[in-house]
Amino acid sequence: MKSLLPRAPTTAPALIAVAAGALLLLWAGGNAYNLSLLGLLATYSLVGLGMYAPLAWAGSMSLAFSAYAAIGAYSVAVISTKADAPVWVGWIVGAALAVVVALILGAATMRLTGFHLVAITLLFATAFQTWLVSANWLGSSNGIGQIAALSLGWWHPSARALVIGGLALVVLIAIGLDRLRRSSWGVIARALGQAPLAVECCGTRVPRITIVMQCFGAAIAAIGGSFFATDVQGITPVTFTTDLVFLVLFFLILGGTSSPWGALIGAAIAVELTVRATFFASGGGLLLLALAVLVVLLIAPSGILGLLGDARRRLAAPAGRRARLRGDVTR
Amino acid sequence: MTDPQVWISILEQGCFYGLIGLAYLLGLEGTGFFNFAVGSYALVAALMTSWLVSEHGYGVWPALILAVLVAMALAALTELAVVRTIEAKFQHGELPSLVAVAALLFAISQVAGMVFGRVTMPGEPFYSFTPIAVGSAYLTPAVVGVVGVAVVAFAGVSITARTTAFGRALRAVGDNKEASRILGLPVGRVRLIAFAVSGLVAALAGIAYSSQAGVSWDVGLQWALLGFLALVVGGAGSWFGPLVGGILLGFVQEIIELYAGGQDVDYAMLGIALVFFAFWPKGLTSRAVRA
Amino acid sequence: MASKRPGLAKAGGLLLALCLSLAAAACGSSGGTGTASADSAQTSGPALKGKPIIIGMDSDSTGPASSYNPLITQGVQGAIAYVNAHGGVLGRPLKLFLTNSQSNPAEGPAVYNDMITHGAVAAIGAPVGPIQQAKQIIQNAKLLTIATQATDTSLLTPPSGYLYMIAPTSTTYADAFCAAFKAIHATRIALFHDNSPGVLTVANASIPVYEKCGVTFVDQESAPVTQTDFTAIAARIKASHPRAIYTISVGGSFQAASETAFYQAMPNVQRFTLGAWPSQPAAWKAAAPGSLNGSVVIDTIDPENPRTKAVANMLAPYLPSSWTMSQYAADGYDALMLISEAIKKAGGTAEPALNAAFQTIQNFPTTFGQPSSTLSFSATKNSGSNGACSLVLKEFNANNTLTQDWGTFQPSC
Repeated sequence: MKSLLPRAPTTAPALIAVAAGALLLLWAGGNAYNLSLLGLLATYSLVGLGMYAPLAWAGSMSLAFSAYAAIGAYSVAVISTKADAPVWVGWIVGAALAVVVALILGAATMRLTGFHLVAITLLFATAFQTWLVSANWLGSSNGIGQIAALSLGWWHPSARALVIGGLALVVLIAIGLDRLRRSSWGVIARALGQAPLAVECCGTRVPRITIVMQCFGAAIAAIGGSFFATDVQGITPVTFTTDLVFLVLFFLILGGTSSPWGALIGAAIAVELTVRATFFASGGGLLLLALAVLVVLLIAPSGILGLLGDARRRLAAPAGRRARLRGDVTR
Repeated sequence: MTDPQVWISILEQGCFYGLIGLAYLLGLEGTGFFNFAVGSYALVAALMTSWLVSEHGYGVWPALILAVLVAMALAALTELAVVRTIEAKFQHGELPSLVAVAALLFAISQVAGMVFGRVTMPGEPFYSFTPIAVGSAYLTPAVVGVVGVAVVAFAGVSITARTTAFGRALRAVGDNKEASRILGLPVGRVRLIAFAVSGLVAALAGIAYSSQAGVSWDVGLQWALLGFLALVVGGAGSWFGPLVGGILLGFVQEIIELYAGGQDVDYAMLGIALVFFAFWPKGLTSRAVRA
Repeated sequence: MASKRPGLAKAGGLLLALCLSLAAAACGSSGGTGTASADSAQTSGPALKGKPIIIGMDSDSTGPASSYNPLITQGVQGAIAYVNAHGGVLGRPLKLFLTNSQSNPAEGPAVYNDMITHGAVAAIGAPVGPIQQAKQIIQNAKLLTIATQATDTSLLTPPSGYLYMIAPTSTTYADAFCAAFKAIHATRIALFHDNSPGVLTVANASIPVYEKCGVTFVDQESAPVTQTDFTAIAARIKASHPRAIYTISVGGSFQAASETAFYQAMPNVQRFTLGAWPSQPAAWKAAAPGSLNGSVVIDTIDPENPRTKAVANMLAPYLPSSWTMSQYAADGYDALMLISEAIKKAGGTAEPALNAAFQTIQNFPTTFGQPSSTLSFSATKNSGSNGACSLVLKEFNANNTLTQDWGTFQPSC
């Protein structure tokens, strides 16, 4: 019963995440390269969190998320350079546009699942990118540059402050998703993935919930794109590609889908393997990730989260045995 | 549209997409899911053949045979290591198998890029000859190769499925695995053979098609996607379903080029998928496309 | 059992995973993927005592451009070895800090920040996408950057105060082709191109230029890069009765197939090509036998150019014995030499003096193009190309190989 309450179980991972974030920021210091990596980590995490909910809860795998991230990024770019409005307006517009697109796409693909949904959303993401490249008002293949630096009233955040903000946003959204997961709505949503028929019988419309989750996820992914464009002050049409979606999919599985925190673990691994590590310089980063995903699926399907949870349970088990020997029947 | 060359191209494209779709169908019959990795089997076979011929001076046929064997081995390995384990671990839900084959596709493509290089390689025709003129059109070695493989593959698979014990066993396994096992059918062996044949079909298709204009390490996903579309559009109701679907896809591609422009092909493919998935989800030759 | 406190289990897991990542991060170099590369082969000359001057370079060795970026790296490495063997720059040795963005624009900012935090005073960027995404970073850091493969001046939209191009631009190519079309009295041209982002920009930008020089595009066709069948397109082009076909493409299998299709449909129509096709011998084999005969390409490297040969001889001792001169090596060499020149002129590596010095470089002879080809820069000219003599027109023979200059015409400056 206690585990259904939203409060306590969310606090611990959140505190850990905050501590980890603080440590990462300490490590980064003022080093621009390290801050870039953390910015990429925040971006990947946000796109990952966006893909997480529909994937982990409704078992609905849409690959349109590169489009949503691109919408977020381009909204910031267009609002800032063409509408001369503050950058943060672009964030809001981007999220709203992404939701609209997700709604339309969701409605068009309402009854599709599994491989069919993957194929359609992949085709959509490809077509969307083709459109971005050909759209002259969006800078066509050059994209849009000279996005104004973010300013919130009188405050002009530094590069470091931006990254701190991005990471904080990641943690906040993860907390939000975690609470949602444990709320009564979240329970129904998660049941969708397991027993859609049962959910329908309870009077809830399955496709409707799936679309809502996709819209949610789209907004989060758009925020990821907006963050990236704000951080580097520019965007190109080939920055958020279908390759990125597969990368995110793989690191989500790797991190574990039992909770949103897996997305953060996965994103960190992805940044390390595909951007930072010299060890895998011959393109092996993505290869290693793909292989790791296979291994995870075959051996440890709950991902890293699951592995570590298991380890902890095994460590706790002897205590349980001891308790039973003592005759402590209340355990 | 009256230009015979256009129709020859439609046939060639259609046969290639259809062959990849057939490779999917063989896997689908045995396991009930779509093995996206067939795109990478085709790619590896084509790339390896080219690489052996141009970098190591092999003759076309020895290189081809070696490459096909490698592709079949990859396919068999997929069934043994990936499919069986996934099915054992995850009783329902397509997501794990979907992610697994996607990861496999990427892994194989990356390894192919590392081993064979990241250059686009020209393909090797089965047999070289100067293009045969047919009226105002030409039959290139590539066209003959792709269509030839298609004829052999589709005819071979449908005849085998209908007349041999293996074919019946495959159908049975696809329909109800547990019942087949109880009846004493060698489920594991049947599926393994089905996957190996799927690898064979994909490999030959890739090699034949790449002689049209080459192959590179990153085409796997695109070939996989088009083959999947061919199968879904054509339907799994008949072994010739993918061929029907493939030719329809090829036809639409040519029409779009003729009357619109190359850029719109991406939009057209999305459109076709939306239309078919919405109105004919079971494809043109229907029987339930088991998900 | 521990399900009583699932949050704590997950928290523990999270903590452990993050600690591992942090440990790995801390154990790794405090910077990133960049490596200070040791120059291959021999060095000669006195050991230089000054503090090394760090030149950053982004070269895709593992991604889509990995078939040719490493050739650019070699040009740079050879140049550095040569310079260091001949007294360095201002008595200081040059040192290369090599990074790999994998042509991924998302990694652009990280990669250029990597160079900056490692003290690079200038950068050579091979893949263009990452530069586009990192433009603001380059501007903020005042990092003198040469985009060696960029051919479209739209890259130079602001912010670009420190960003330079050395390759002939799309307008230069257009000028060369305009002159070529005039030379064979061709005013009816069919335009054909693929839909890759770079090519689209080039194609769209050059149409008005050609029309201004008297060309009429009687047909315009395009196709996705992955397309392999061009029968329909060939049919349409044929129906428009062009005097010549002008192809803009990334080349490869795409072009092998299109050349074959065009040859089969219209063997007597002159074909011109703009793109990577001239440097792709492996792809030429994929075209039907004899189908490339007489097809004219534009290229930036002329092996017969005495200066090209001289530089090749200069670099050979410092590079592997199998190395041959190519457009890419020439690009790398010239980029590095330009930077050295600027440092010498500025008397140091501090900005903005270095940038100002770079902008005083005039008539720098290039290793590519024809003998009269030069580069000049100024405060308002970030694209160095001085005209169409940086280009060479070559023609294929009946064996589908590219061995001779086009006898009919060569562009001039």
